[in-house]
Amino acid sequence: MHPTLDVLLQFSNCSLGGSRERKVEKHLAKCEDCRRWAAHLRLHAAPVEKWQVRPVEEVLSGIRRWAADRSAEPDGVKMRVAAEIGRYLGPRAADRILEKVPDQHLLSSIEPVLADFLGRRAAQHLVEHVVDRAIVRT
Amino acid sequence: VQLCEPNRVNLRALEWLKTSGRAPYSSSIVVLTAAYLGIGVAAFAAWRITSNDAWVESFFRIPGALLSLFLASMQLCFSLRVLRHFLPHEAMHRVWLCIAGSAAFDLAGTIFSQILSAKTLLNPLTSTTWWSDARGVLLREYGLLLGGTCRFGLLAMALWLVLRIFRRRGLLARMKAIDWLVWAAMGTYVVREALDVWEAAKVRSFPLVEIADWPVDLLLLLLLAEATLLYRSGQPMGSGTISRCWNAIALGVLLVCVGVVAQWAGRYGFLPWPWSSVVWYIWLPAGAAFALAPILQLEAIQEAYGEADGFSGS
Repeated sequence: MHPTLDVLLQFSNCSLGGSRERKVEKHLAKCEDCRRWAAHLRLHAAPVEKWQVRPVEEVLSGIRRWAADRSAEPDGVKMRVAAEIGRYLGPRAADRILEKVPDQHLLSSIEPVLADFLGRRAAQHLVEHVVDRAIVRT
Repeated sequence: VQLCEPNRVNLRALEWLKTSGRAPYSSSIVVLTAAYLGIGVAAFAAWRITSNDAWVESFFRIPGALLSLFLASMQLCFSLRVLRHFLPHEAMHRVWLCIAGSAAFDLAGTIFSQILSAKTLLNPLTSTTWWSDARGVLLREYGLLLGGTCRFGLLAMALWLVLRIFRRRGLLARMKAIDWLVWAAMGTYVVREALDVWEAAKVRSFPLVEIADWPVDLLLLLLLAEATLLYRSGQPMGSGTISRCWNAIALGVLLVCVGVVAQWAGRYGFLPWPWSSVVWYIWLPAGAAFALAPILQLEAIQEAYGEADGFSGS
């Protein structure tokens, strides 16, 4: 069972702690997909001193907003992801593809579809952007 | 905030550079073709008013041939550029390989049938002793074979592979009643044409190059079904950048089918002269639609990279 995006974000931000963190670590050792997303999320969450801005705080407040949105609107992330990829696949196709996909499989479900039509490399770039826009910066 | 301001300005400048540097090839092709059609209509009007054939003949022999050559070159060049974005094991790699091959045949066919076969300033062979009117006719036959059976055979294979991808992703739609009607009309034409060829073959023999071009109508019938399915599959997806490419190919196929049937109708007197000559103009937007397809695909891919790099206009 894959960790949810929420758990991955908390893990990437080192705020998970305890047995849950060890559980995720164990899973990441086996699952390449989740490892990749965790690495990407960590990249966005990592503080970069030379920026002289507060990326960690921004990400944390993003996570808090996302968590709040999520409890108010369970399909919020899905809708934002659909809006992002809808520009490429078409809004109705994006909705249809994401309709039955659980949150934890969201990214692993859209990347192969985008790769089919845009090529693997462009799809990887795009999905990273989708994570950034629809999940991290919300 | 002050520290960030200069960066924001730089990013805006980069954004502007990126979007302005990204040549709007698709719009250029549309504008160029529309301008050519405008000139073509003016030439047609001049021909009808003055009764001088030279107006239309000159338009098609030189500017028309040059546009066809340009569009075929664009189609090949951009298909190869799109091909580079797909890895050899990816399903779309085979699709774009077939489309690039089809574009190469189209370009070769255009060179043979519109440049090397005609006695115009564009033909370098006319200044040689090798060239003669009879050789020009032969070159035209080869051009029609390359731009017909060879080109459409590969294109049919490409669309078949794309449809398989659509089906695998659950995006394949069905044809509507009106589509079946149009397809049946095209089918009737194909059967009628096959019967005519059969009758003609009884009384005279045909050169091999002409026989090799016979499957072209059947290929067009297949292409029409594939193009319709692609169009119908793209419709429920909504307006996304990916479906634009396949819509352009569908439009190109439809225009070619209309052109072929209208030519036949003109030949058999169903479409009276001079209106049957309007058919000549169909090949230009058809060529533009085929050239647009890889350009739109490339623009979608570039947008995906651009979005990821943070250069989205939104």
